[in-house]
Amino acid sequence: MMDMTEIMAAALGFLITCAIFSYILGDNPLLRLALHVLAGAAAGYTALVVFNTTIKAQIYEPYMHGSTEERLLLGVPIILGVLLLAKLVPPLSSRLIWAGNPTLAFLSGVGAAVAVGGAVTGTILPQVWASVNVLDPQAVMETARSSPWSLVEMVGNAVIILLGTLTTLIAFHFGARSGQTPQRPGWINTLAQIGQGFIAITLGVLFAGVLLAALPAMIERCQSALEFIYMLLGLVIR
Amino acid sequence: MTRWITPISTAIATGVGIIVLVGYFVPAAWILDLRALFLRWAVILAGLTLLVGIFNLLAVHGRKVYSLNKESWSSLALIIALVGTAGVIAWQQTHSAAALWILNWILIPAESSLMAVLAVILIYAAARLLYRRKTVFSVIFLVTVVIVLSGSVPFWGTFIPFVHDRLLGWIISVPAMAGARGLLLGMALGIIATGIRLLTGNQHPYDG
Amino acid sequence: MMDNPQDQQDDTPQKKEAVPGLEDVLPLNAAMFEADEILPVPFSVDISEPQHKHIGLLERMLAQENEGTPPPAQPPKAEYHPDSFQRFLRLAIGLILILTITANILYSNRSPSAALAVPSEIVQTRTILRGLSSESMVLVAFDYEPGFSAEMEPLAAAVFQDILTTQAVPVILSTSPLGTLQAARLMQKIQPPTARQPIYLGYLPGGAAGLMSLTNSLRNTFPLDVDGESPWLPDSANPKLQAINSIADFAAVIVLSADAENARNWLEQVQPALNKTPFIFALSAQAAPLIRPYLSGNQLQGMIGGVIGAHAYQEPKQPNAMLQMTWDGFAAGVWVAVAFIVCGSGISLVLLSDPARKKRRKQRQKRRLP
Repeated sequence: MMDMTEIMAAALGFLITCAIFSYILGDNPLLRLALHVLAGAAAGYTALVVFNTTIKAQIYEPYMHGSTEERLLLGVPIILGVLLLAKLVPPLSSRLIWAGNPTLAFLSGVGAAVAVGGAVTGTILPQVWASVNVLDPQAVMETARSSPWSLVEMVGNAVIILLGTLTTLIAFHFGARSGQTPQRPGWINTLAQIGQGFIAITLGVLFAGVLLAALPAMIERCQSALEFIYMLLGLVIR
Repeated sequence: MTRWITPISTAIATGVGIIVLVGYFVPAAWILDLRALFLRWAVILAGLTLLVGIFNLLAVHGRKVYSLNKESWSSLALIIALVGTAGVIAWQQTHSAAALWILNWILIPAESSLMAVLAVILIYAAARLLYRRKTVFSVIFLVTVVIVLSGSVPFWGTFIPFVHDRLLGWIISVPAMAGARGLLLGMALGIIATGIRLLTGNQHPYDG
Repeated sequence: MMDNPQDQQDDTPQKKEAVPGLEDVLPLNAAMFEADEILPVPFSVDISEPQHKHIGLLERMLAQENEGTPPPAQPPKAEYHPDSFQRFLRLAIGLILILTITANILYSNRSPSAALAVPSEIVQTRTILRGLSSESMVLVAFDYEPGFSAEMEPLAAAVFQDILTTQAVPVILSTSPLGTLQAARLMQKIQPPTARQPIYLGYLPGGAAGLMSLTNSLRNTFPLDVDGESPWLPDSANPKLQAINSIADFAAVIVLSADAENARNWLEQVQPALNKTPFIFALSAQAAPLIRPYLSGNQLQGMIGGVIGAHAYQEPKQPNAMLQMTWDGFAAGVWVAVAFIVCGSGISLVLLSDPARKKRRKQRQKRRLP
């Protein structure tokens, strides 16, 4: 026997699915309702999770059980957090909206530093190194010994990777002297066109990837709808 | 009247940012300790900012409900869903059966349906691309899409021989990888330029 | 390099954009706006022709603002509202896709499908995960949103089956608030009663800064687990966690992510601190292409991408039940997409080769331009 609450839950899921699928026909009130419910439920859950992981675990517990030094150090994020409230509370936000700026400045400074440090040590240096070493001498020697055709393929691929990386970067190059329209010299323009070809291939692969990521969702929804219909018919799938 | 706050904010952003950045390259103990402290504060503040954002969402939709306009009823639905979910999770636990129920029957159906609709919209957009824009790059883009899709799955139980085992792998690991590396390097350079502008006080996204 | 006669005549903005597909994002000059009249400049500066046109355009916009009457409304039909044919096309694609997939779910015989070519990064991932022992602690990040659960769950199940078989202990965290709840959902589905219980550290706010904090000080970043208990105490549920002081002490770090930006944050903030700890990504198909350069740069030891990667990862003799249920429908859906894209492109080429239609289309485009 089917549990009634299970049928109600499946019905809710089915209704939400139908409401969102109605977007294929255009924007409508049912779609907006489903999206608002989604946003509300996600925000409600997030609020509780953040409360537990931030206020309870990172502020309340250390404050109650930590040393005096720990308590003093916690004062800084607490003060900055309280200042942030000035942006939220309506009577304060009209006059004291600027009070939250130091908090945002702190977060911006840390965020920018982490982004710059990460980009240099985690992307630029290793990726430039990988581009420079696109032909590993040891691998070349081994391949040359095994088959000359493999060597040609290996060198060809390495050249394409190097060319693709450089021309893609060049495709984003725009320079202008004072008083001039931004324009590129002819040879850079030619390389940039080649780069645009590589970008088109990369975007094609990314587009196919998004489609391959979205299709399982369609399958999952169809399966779920079928299960609900079977439930209604009183049948048991498989 | 509030002009004095900008230099203070800039000094905070620059000072804190430089210490965190130097920590990547100079492994001095005091810098690493200070960086760890700043990062811990940043994690706490990021959480608090998220909470403030959620309260702001609640306030904005509360005002919409109060104003009784066309969008009031959907705002009311959002508030009920938000308060209801928060109430249930506060009463139970973040990993309770109730939380899993909300995930299984509200969040996953809604977000998966959006992804499913995205699949339809993407197919539609790709099918019409050449009509909207007939260029060499559109053709390269579409040919790549078709090769990647048709090489990835079997047709009637059999993979297309050359496309699946040679061409697909080559496209993904040679030209597409080269383009992706160029894009990543370009993005990283852009991040560095923007980050340095902020750290040197030339940009103040926190003013407002 | 470019292209056909139609495009050579067609001086629309797409000819001048920096990136194909991003119209008007980086316009190269102002000539595209076709300013009719250039207003005189009242002081002597060296101003180029395109700058004149910018000024003219700005002046006209300001003049319109001052007149107080709104500019005549553009006919929105063609730009913003799909006409009935476009709506019909979307509906047709949606219905055919749904019907094909549903038919495959109902009538699929679920027989073993053709073997996929297995890339070297997947073989490496298998070797690392199957080399774990019952003493191993593995850090697993569930960094995907509920919308991706249909794609990511079979992938996560494939990875977790190996972890649970070796009796290694998964330590779970997430940079998404809903991440660890999704992990609990997966465990409910696949965890055998004899397997070791995972440790849920919980949610990590702060994006890249949060990950850097995790790298710097794992214990301070997670003082409590999701149940509000300290997981680092000797009398906690899993005393083995005592041996873990930094992220490099784990036997492996596995990130399940649907977002290339999030995966890049892990690579930039966490990977440099891992020393010899294997770093493995199980990614959505949409994120994998952008992360591949890191794999070829040896910053990753293993990678699985999307449903296809999960299918290649599983052993043909022990197929993953979650994957088997969806594989035939998935393949059918992909072929429907290919058919629509090929047919749509073919029809577009035929329609565009008709001179009368080409002329009408050009006139329409001219009317749409400001």
